[in-house]
Amino acid sequence: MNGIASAKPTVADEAAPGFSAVLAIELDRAYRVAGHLLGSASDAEDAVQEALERAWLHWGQLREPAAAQGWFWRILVNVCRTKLRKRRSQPVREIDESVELETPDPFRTSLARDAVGRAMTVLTEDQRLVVVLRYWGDLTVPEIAHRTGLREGTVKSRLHAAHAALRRRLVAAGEAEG
Amino acid sequence: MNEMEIELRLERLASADDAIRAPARLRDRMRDLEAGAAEPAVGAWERPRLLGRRAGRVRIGALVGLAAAIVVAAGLLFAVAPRHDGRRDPVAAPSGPSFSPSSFTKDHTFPGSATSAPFVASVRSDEAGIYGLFSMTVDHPALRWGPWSGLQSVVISSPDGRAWSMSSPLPDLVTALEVPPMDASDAITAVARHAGRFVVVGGLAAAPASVARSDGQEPVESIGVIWTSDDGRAWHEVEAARQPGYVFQDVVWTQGGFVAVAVRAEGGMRILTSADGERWSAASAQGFTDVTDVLPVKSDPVGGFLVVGATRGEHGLVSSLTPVHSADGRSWSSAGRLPLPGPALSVVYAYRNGRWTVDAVIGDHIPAASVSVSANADHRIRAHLETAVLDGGSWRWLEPTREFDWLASPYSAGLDDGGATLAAGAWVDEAEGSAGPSPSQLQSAPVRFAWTADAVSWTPAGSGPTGTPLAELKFRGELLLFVSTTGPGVPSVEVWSAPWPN
Repeated sequence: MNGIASAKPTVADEAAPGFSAVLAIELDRAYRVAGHLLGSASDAEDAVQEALERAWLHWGQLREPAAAQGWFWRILVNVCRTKLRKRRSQPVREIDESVELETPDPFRTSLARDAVGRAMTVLTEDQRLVVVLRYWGDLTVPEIAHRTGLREGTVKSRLHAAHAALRRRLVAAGEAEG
Repeated sequence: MNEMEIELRLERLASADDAIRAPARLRDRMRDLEAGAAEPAVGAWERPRLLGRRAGRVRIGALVGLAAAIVVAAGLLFAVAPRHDGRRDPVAAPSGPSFSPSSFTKDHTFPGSATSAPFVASVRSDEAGIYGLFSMTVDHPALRWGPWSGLQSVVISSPDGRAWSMSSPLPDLVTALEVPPMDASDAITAVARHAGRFVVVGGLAAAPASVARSDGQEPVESIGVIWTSDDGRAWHEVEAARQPGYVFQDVVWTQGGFVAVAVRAEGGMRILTSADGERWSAASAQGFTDVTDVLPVKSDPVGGFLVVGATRGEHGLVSSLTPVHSADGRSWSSAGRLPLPGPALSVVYAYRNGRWTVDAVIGDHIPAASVSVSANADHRIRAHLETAVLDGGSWRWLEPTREFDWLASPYSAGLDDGGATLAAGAWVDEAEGSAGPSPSQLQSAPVRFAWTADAVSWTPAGSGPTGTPLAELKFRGELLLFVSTTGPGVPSVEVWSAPWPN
């Protein structure tokens, strides 16, 4: 499989790597990562859908099928970061989430049940990114570096700073001993 | 507690989330794309978005973001009878404008990149034309800390709203200030122009001071920064105007000069003024420690300003306002906090009929713990409009609350000295089903306009281009400008225009 196909691949195009087959295994993790980066299930759905659509549009240009997953994660991370930036740029913040009353948002519920989760509000956007990719994306430091374009040293330093920030917050909140 | 314990707790927390699975709709969408069943990539608004399949709940979030308004000439005003009973407004005195999709032509496209959607902000007009900020996330070259994904912004401008040009990119703050990008994020927030000089504001939003800097140095502090350019090519930072601890949120030019407002994340607002964009001085009124955000600065036709600081509560909803008024740009006064009757989705304010008014759009069904909005018992969506007026130096709320139910989304509005407003939002006339307007009905609803002369009575004013989500709406000369952001694919910003009907 040479992986080089037309810009608009079809199922009949045998040269194109299997889009669903390659990305389906990433979907749950991608959803969880997007959910914890953006803070809501509905935003996570939007972000993953947008990333899938962008990935599909350029799937035919993908020359290295083995790199597809990392490439998809890069798109997803950029989609999430753009959404976060848009939120900041709007003087009246977009109400960007819809929580069905009888179904609490799973991502908020998840973080709220543990002091460490509650303390994550102290993290910067960039720190939160590496923390979410490390623990919710279950990625190693080299994998995070590969999928974000950061150097491994940068990933490590961000993780270290995030851990320190969480620890300080927990101590300040009386949730941990100094 | 050491770092390893923190890691273990994070691992446990994340492991517990393994039960959270991507909705089946995402897998369906993926298969649809591959099977060629997906719709062509014509724009995010036309995407069969997943949330559109949720039944029984109405998502207004994306719609709020679409809402926008323009100011129009006082000569176009008309009067209609107010109605407060919450039912479909039967007033039909359509002396306002009316548009249709065919009224609009697409004049310009600013392309983004395959992996980053662009957006526009701070669209303004003056005697020389219209201008705004165009931004997108880009990968910056490697710094000594490694490559990073930052914001690249340019000023876009047009003399007529149809032919557009772009400035040179604004300086990259992280590189310029030699701050590790992991410890701060850049923000370029607003642009103003006078006599050919652009003034752009923003800053570096740093991590909380309690977080150690990743390279072991002293923690990075947020800093507000002002740049100027006389030609749109060379940018110059006004170093004397730096505001440590703050980030600039807005800048405007009015008859009295430039006014820039900076906000401190922990609470606090500073107002700076300048006659030329180069020499800045702090206004007399400072502090406002409750303020965590600032809404767009506005001016009145006689040289005054209104700066409205906002305090945000849960989910970003506005819980109180702090209007700060100046009649001349030199002396400022504030009557203090103006608590809202409820958490507000949207706040708009303007100089109407000789006095400042502040409107807060407060959804009818906004639970305190959530920002979702459900259909009412009669399956209509409502938003209450609460209005405060500056009356003898103090603010008071007008009674009674006005209620309207014919716009499917809360609106945002601005207005001029005459008080007329054109608002836009997704619009649903009648619900398709018994459970109110379905999300898919809302998602496919056209962007429609509503017109008011007095912010009390509204009448329909036609619709906008289809299949492209509205980002900004602006009136320029005889043109109505409709700025949209498209996607997926290579997303772009499109500028549409329609002649203002005579």
